[in-house]
Amino acid sequence: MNGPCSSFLQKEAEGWRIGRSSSCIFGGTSAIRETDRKYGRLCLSLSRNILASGEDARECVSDAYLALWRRIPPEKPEDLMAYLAKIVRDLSLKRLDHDRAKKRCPELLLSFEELEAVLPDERFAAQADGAALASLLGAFLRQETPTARSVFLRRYWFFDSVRGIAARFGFSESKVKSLLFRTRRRLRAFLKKEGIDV
Amino acid sequence: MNMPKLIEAMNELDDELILAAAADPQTKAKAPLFRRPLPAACACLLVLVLALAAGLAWQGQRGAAPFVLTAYAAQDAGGPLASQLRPGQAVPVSAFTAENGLKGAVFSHAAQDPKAPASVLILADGADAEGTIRAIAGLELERGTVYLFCVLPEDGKAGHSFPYLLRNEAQNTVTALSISIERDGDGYSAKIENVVTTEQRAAS
Repeated sequence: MNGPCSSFLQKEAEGWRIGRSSSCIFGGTSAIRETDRKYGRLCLSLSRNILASGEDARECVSDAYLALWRRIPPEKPEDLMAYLAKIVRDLSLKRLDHDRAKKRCPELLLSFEELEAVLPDERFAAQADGAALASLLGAFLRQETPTARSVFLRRYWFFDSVRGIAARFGFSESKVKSLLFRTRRRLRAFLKKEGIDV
Repeated sequence: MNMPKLIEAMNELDDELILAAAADPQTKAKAPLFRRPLPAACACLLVLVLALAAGLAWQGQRGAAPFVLTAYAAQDAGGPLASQLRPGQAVPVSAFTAENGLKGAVFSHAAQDPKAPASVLILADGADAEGTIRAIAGLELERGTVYLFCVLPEDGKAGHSFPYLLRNEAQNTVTALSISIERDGDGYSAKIENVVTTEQRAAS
């Protein structure tokens, strides 16, 4: 655990907590092991939802750990879990985009189709960048109920299947589909109101 | 198929939104009343049929409760076995386990208003009622049915009696009874005792 920065294991032992209110410092192979122990399952599940292949997902998660090691420091994420999950999601989507020849998971394609109906690429591209859209999306999600928000994010951020979401929340699959449909409809109306031509 | 712009943009969402979605849902997941798979529709239909049948059978009987209490016992296959509880007659019941490990016997009766939302009454003997309610809150139960979750003691050796009071506004009566649960071999048996129905007096 020697090196230019202390591992967060050491910091945790000193009473630090990785969270919103504290900085976190990352480094060393022990830190990677500990990260894998804490967040490995989440990362693997997220990547597998996107890539539909256990092997590809494992590689992607390993790449994410490497990226994490390289980025911290100098970056100091507020929350390591969210930061890592974002890296895993980003790398997995990039890999998916790169391996176009590979067969894609039907559940993922379905979620793409669902969101494309809200905001087709070509119409949006000229109007705002990703950060602006993320900001609008964040504002929209904050005004939704916690359940609608979580179900939406489970579907389109974590790419969970409808069945998986139903089991997670104790809902029927039809209830999940209906919730998602109504949330997408509200999102479309929200974006339109905010000046995005949908 | 191209990736929708929204999918890419979502990676820039604030951490707090991601963390909240990654955490366990506030509405308790699944919230099964019983651990073993329950064909809820069949069970509810069974309860309804039993309630109607027993309601007719009990009409006019002295000392009988003016409602049907149904007890549930786990079976090796299929859904739980629902039995009518008659005064003084023991029927098998099982200790069902809530998601937090809390054990209890389950009974139900039809609510006076069939359109009323389902409710769960916790009958506990000195247990942490608030915590218990939290533990099994979020159950998706059948409308118009009152469920009783009688919390069994940890040791499970001694018998326990749960007093229960039901007010029938239509008939202007109050029925008091006690649900007695005892160890019976590997399982439990339950019976209702001391059923007393009295006319409700108007407050002076």
